[in-house]
Amino acid sequence: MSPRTIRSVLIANRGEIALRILRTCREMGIRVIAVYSEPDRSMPHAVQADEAYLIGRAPASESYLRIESLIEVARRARADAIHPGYGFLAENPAFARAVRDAGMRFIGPPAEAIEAMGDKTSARRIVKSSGVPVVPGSETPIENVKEAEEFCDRIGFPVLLKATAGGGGKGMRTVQSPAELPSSLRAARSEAASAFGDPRIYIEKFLEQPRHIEFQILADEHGNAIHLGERECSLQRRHQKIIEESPSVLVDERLRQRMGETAVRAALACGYVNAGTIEFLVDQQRSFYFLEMNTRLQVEHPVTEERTGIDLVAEQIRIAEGMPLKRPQDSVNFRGHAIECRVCAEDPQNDFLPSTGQLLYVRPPQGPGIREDRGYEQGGEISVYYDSLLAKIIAWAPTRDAAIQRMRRALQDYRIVGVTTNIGFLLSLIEHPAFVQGELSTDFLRQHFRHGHSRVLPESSLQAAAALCVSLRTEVDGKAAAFSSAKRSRERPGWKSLRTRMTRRQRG
Amino acid sequence: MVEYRVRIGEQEIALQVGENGQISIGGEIHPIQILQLDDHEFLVRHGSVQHRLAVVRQGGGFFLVTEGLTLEAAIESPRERLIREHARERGMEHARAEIHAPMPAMVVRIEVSEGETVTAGQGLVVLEAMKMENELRAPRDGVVKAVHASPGSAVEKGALLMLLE
Repeated sequence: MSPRTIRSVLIANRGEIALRILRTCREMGIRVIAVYSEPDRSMPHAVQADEAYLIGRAPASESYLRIESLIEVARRARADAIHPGYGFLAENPAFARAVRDAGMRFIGPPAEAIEAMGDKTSARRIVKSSGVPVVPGSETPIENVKEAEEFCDRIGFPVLLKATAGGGGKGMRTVQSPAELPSSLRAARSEAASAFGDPRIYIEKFLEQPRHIEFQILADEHGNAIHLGERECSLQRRHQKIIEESPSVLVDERLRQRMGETAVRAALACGYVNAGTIEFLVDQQRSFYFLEMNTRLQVEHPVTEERTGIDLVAEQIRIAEGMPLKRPQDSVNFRGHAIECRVCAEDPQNDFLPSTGQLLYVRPPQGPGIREDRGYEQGGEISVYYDSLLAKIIAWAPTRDAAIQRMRRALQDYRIVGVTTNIGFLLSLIEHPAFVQGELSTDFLRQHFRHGHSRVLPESSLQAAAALCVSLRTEVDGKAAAFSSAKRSRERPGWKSLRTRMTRRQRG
Repeated sequence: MVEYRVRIGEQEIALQVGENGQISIGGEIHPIQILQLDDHEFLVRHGSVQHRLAVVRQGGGFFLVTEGLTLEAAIESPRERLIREHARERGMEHARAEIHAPMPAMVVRIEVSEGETVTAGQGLVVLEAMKMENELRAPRDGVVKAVHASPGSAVEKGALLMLLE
């Protein structure tokens, strides 16, 4: 065993991603150390770990974002390494540095690479200098309205204002004409300042109906880097991805090779090590442009795992141990088609308002080719403190059509009761003729769901639902009912026993 | 025979329950059998066609989950309909609208001030929950009578944020 073998990992995250990392660690014989905030004490990521430590109160800024507490816990637990997951501190160079300074390994890229790629204008400069095409845009942040006007005159409207420190659609504005520029710049600046503590904005040419296609890459400490193919993530709402798939219907073997090589070059340009993602925008003419690099594991990474059979977390750990990549580019095998849907606690019929509450009942879809990554169990509480992602469903099948049908079946089978979910909306998306045809762009929702989303029950289901409601109601009213059920329980025995079980765990 | 009106999401259906519990829709008797499968899951057998639904009771109504949809269902008996219609007639003279927080959240911005005239659909308050900003809009035309929230404060679900008149 080399001295760099990782025998214990602290997972600095929660929810589905913490659980997903935990599973691989278990399979590799690695001791798992979990951290949890006060309301998360009985979440699966905490209870399934070998050790679990309370790190603070519910708001992330008082728990999952506290670098010092995390390092302190990792020391106390004698962790060899820390995995940041995604979100929270995953792309915080100060955290990566703090882990390294504490003598532990950060399962992710070096702090310097996070820094270089985290600043969007610096990232563009770095990759451009190694011959990677970027969307036409300003080389440096824009200082004032006059400079913005001059720049837009040169590249032409429409343009996109983006936060230098950006991500997640915050501080981002599309500007159609010179008249809108001053107010949009002001709004973008203030949004960027409050979201990232950095008001700097740069300008990019706005591409019409582009596709979002990204490449998964792996790079080791020894200068080897490969790509694991693309993921198309064009279906977005407010710059948040909803459905991701691989392969992309747009990408043929030749384009895959060209984009893949470019992605690898971009990663090597910033001295990247570990798993990362190069995002591209692809226009109608199939020209592709570097958009940004995500220096972490992505939410949608299972799409690549299902298509290549490669466990990305296991690869990340091996790379962090200093091992060379296991396979050269030409022995990466791609098979079939994988689609991921993000199931969120939000109400699509009501402007996607987040929904909070207790998961009273959860029954996940099953069957061959279905993977479900979920961080909550029945009885769990969806609170306002963390993001609204409940679960990810990944459907794999030999062809795209079969994968779509499988996903459709899985979504119909899925039962989540207690919070409103976007499952009906996901169904409307994957059933849409344009989606089935593969006619995708980041404009998809505006094009096809301009008037929001409403899905209604077919007449026969509606009648059945109404009959059920009336039966339950008349039973309560003490009248005769067309109701031949087993005994009705006023309490929910399932939930009650779950609570008892969890209380016992807490005490033990 | 008692007629119930069931509103499920945006749809409405009228349904009659006979003395013996028989259900008819539009004068036609429907042979419906209901089985409870577990705490929340039900099977509705309509002739030989089967529908599966999960149900949770919510106040006087229900939440239904079926075919990927989460739907709110409200049932109205003839008596309740009378009460509601009566109340509406009396309530006509003071048509106020209260803006409540639909979820626990942080108040990000107040977009109008007291005394301001607003039109239906106009943004009133921006709330942040689960890292997403959500704008509450005016349900109808009116004048802002009172503002009960301030930017940066946390509000509970159901908190009164604003009063329109």
